[in-house]
Amino acid sequence: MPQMESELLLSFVQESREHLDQLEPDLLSLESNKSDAELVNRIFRAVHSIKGASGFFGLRKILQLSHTMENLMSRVRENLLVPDKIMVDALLAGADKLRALIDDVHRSNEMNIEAESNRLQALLTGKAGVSATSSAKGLSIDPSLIEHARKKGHFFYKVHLFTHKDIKDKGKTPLDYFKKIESLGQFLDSYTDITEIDGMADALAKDLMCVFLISTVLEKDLMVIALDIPEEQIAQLTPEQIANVGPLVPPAEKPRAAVLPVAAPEQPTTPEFAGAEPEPAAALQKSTGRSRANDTIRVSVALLDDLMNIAGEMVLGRNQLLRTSESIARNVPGMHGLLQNISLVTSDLQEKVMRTRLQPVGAILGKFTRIIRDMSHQLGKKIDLKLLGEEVEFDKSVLEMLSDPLTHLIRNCADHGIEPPAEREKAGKPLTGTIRLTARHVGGQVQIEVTDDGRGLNPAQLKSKAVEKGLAKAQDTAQMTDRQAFNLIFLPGFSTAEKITDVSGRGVGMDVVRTNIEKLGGSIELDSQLGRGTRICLRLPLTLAIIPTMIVGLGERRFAMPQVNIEEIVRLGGKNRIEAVRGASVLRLRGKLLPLVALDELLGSQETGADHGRGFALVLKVGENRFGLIVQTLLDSEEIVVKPLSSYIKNCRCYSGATIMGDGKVAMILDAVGIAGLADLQFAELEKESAALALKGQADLSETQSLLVFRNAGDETFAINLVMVARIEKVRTRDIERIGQKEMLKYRDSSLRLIRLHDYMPVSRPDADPEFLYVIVPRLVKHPMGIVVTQVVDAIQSTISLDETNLMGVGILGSAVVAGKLTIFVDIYSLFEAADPENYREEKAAQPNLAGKRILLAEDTAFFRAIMTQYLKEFNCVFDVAADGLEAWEALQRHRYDLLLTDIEMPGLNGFELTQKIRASETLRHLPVVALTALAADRYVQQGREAGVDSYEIKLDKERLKATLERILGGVRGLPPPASTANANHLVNLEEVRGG
Amino acid sequence: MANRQFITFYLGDDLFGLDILLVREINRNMDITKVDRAPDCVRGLMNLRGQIVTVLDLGVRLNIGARPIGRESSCVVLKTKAELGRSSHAGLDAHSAEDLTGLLVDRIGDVVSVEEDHIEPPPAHAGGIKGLFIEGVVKLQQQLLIALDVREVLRTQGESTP
Amino acid sequence: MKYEFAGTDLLIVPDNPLAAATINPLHKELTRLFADAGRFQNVVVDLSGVSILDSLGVNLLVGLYKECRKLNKPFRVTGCSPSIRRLFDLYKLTEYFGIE
Repeated sequence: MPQMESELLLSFVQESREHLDQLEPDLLSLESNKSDAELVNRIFRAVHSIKGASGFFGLRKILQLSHTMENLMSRVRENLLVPDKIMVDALLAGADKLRALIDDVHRSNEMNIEAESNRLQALLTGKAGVSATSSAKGLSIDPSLIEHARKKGHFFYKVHLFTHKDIKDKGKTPLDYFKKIESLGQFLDSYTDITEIDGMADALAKDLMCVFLISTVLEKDLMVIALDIPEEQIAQLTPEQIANVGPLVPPAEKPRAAVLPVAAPEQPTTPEFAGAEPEPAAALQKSTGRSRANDTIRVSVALLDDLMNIAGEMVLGRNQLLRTSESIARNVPGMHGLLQNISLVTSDLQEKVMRTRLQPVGAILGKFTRIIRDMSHQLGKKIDLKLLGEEVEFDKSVLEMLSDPLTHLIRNCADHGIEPPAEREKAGKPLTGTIRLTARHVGGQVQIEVTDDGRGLNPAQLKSKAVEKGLAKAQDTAQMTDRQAFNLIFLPGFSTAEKITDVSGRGVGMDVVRTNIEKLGGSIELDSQLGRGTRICLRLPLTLAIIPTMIVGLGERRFAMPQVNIEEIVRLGGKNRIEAVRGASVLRLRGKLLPLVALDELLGSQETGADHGRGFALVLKVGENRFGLIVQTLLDSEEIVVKPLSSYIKNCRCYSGATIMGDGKVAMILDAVGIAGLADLQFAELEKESAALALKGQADLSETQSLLVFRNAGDETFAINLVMVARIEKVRTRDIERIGQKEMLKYRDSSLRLIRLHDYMPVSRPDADPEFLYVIVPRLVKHPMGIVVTQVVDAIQSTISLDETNLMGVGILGSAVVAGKLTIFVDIYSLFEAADPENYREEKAAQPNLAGKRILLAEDTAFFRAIMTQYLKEFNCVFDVAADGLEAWEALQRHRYDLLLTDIEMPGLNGFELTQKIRASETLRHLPVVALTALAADRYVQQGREAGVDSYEIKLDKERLKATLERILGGVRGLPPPASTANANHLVNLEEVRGG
Repeated sequence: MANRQFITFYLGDDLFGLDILLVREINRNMDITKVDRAPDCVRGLMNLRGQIVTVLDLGVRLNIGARPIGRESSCVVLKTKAELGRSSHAGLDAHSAEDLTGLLVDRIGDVVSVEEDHIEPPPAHAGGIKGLFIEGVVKLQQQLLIALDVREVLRTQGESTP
Repeated sequence: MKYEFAGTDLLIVPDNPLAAATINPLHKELTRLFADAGRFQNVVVDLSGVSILDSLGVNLLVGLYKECRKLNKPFRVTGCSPSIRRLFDLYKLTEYFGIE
């Protein structure tokens, strides 16, 4: 085939595809907008165009099928036939077949169109009226005329005339003109296209096109002169071509048929808006029309991709230029302005080029209407699809990757989400289910939502399904929230359908959907209400072509990690240590365990062996999970142009592309999702481990304390550490005896002195005593007194940061916000000191032998640090505070201490390890070490003994601590008898006492 | 009489050739970035005036051993499918890849003109490589020229599996 | 031009020539007439008095036809001279104009 012809054919195929793209939504719309003349015309024109050109190329089947469709549309146009569902279905089938023919255009003549043709013909026959020849608004020719002319050796021409341009403007009348033509030869056929005229308003202005076929003895150049029209408007045809009906596109002439532009942002393609819409859909569908055809030009996608690349390189070049010329620019007059100019122009260029790649999402949304329509019929359900935001523009590449996942989601909604009408009725819902597809730009991202008002997701069902399929363990699912249960859907191999309808497939979908979305740097979220419906939200970055990244180094090479995945960067070493949990390397980050992957190990690079502990961890977020990627060197953050991977490397999951750096070297772009997969990170396992750690309570790293919260008067809230509480007694107010100034209560064969907070602390006094009061009996004090309170609110676990400066006074340790309320922390020691100075003064008198002693305190929990600090102050010690084991170790190197007071559970180096280090050190091994714990337990004591701890103390027991310190620093070493094992569940049966 | 021109090059002592119509250029730049975890035949990626070329180690691909990079090493950069598709030679684009690909060779030889009917069908083996990769052989004055079947050389390992 | 309402019919009788020279006022008046669509159902254009019809005249007739279609009202043209009939044949407008 000659070159030009194949180019023409390609053009025909492309154009036809565009016609078919518009045809489908138009046909769908036809059912509900039967009398929309413009719609009918547009459909007619589309089919007509395809028919015409196909004749020229000898594409018989395409010609035949489109001709039949055209006939049908022509009848509709004349109101001789009314489009109903049967007709629309037949036309849709025809359009589908046309598409198949167009797609395989070289073999289209061998393909079978019988079924579709018969269907359409059936609709045509049996209809009264106008004969075939005159109803076709195209041309149809009497074969005998052709034969006659051919024998005579006449020429055949197809002529295009424009009534204004060629006739009126030249001062002629049509009557005269045609008389003239008839004198030149034999009219074979003719017609005039009046579709351009809409109504009275534009009637006079429109230049109508008239087409006729003529046979004549005149040669072409004579015809040109005779007809007085441009040469391009006369096409000479062979007899065979004349025999094929249809307007021909002369080679030199641009097709006058409306060219649908490459991107039609303003034209909504949705035919089916819900009835609630005030404006009829038809009114919104203005025809693309001739005017728009002149504003656009068709461009190959490959060229746009190249442009995109080049623009990207230009941006990077501009960035470099600006950087390197910083210093020079100052010295060269006018240079600054020049650079500014280049910079602005480059940005503008890039932005505009990016826009060429933007396509309205409507381009892929349109097909869903058809899918839903077909599925509704197949499934026997009534489903309405509402599309919103089709004009929202996406980068072409993003759009292409969205198509499949969205299709899957929509199918799922229709198949599993929306209930059959009977079920809906029972549930009191409207019979027609609604699926809403919304696209919008939100904060630099693109967001697509698929919402349905169907039956929603049943968490219990999801859980049991997952367990059944062996995808999750029963005990895990039991603990899951509903939200977590929804995410079970994303597990590979999941399908909630009772039976697998072949409509939406075998449950292979959702995990693939999520992977694909995440590969694009996006995310997908699910929310649902049982019985009400489900909402799926997809988020995607605006463009894939230029992305900001973090450049990391590995030996000589560099790698780029897209910023979109990076949550934070942690410097390893010191507090941030790599630990091993169940054989996996992890990092503790704010109470959670972060699985780690080392880049050099992952790549199997030769540069391993570097000390991972001293590098950086990029905390990467992949879907709901996080992990850390260990890299040695952290370089710049840079914007790079993404270049796709060649097919040889596509299988490497760890890369998502490559890029050329500023110095011309190639760098690989890392794929966080792929890396997580390759490293086979066990997120679920570690999640559990993290949770288990959190629950361990006393070994906890976070500042969670067990508190008893209570009230004395009004709303004022107090708290003390539960460790300090021995019992809470509920007493009758009248059982309290007054002896002098003091109040006493009979308590276990003896009397217990009671004190009131407001007597000694700057707090409110209750109005009157209620019938019952509560008495808090403390532990860890020498001469216990009962603290009277009016209401015990709760025993809670809470993280607190104690403010010691805001509220001060006797009995006040500090204040903090607990469960949203400002709470005063009671200092029992100072309170008791104020209430019973005699007993407590004794203690004071016995000045500890601690003056001048230098103590090092290692405690990572701020709350306890504050308390211990206070104690040490009272003991008159000289002391330093270290926030963790490592700091303490370093401090020990720098100064000389008399004693180490250390917490056990600390990040980095814990108390035991610290002690071991000390015992192993030549210079330090005689240092007395007192270990602190919130609650003592036997196993710790044992461990401590082995590590070389001298004594074990409870953090809040001031007196014992003081005694121990005195004892040790006074010269006697050795472990005292074990502290009374406190029991977390010792007493608190708060159900009885919780009040108010 | 139809004539074909071949770009020739050496792998070790053996002389190989490709149809000149398939070749975009010959590049002496050896700044190749290694790609870990890529298949063995992929030597790495190279920057060719702003475009990324995937450099294949021809020795690995032909199973005669990876090529050490020496002073005379070169990269034969092939035309892409798109470039060949635009030319007027029917069917040539089957002998190319979608992406820009280059072949790493030891030393470049001369451009050799060969008459079509002097090209003999491939033997089972030649130059130590399987007949699969050979389109044909030509007896030149001094030695045997092995014309490579580029389509086979460029074939990727089947469909990707994640 | 002349026009009259006969029952539910709107009868339009243009003058000669139906051409560029006189077309604009005619067009304006017809537009005005059609604005009050409720007044009529059928539209008939009688060309008995027209012997000269040029391109604009054809456009106008087509415009009327289209407008009627939009309003879903039957439209037809009567009283064509043979040459005008011939023109309509060539243009393939005879069916649209309801001419036998």
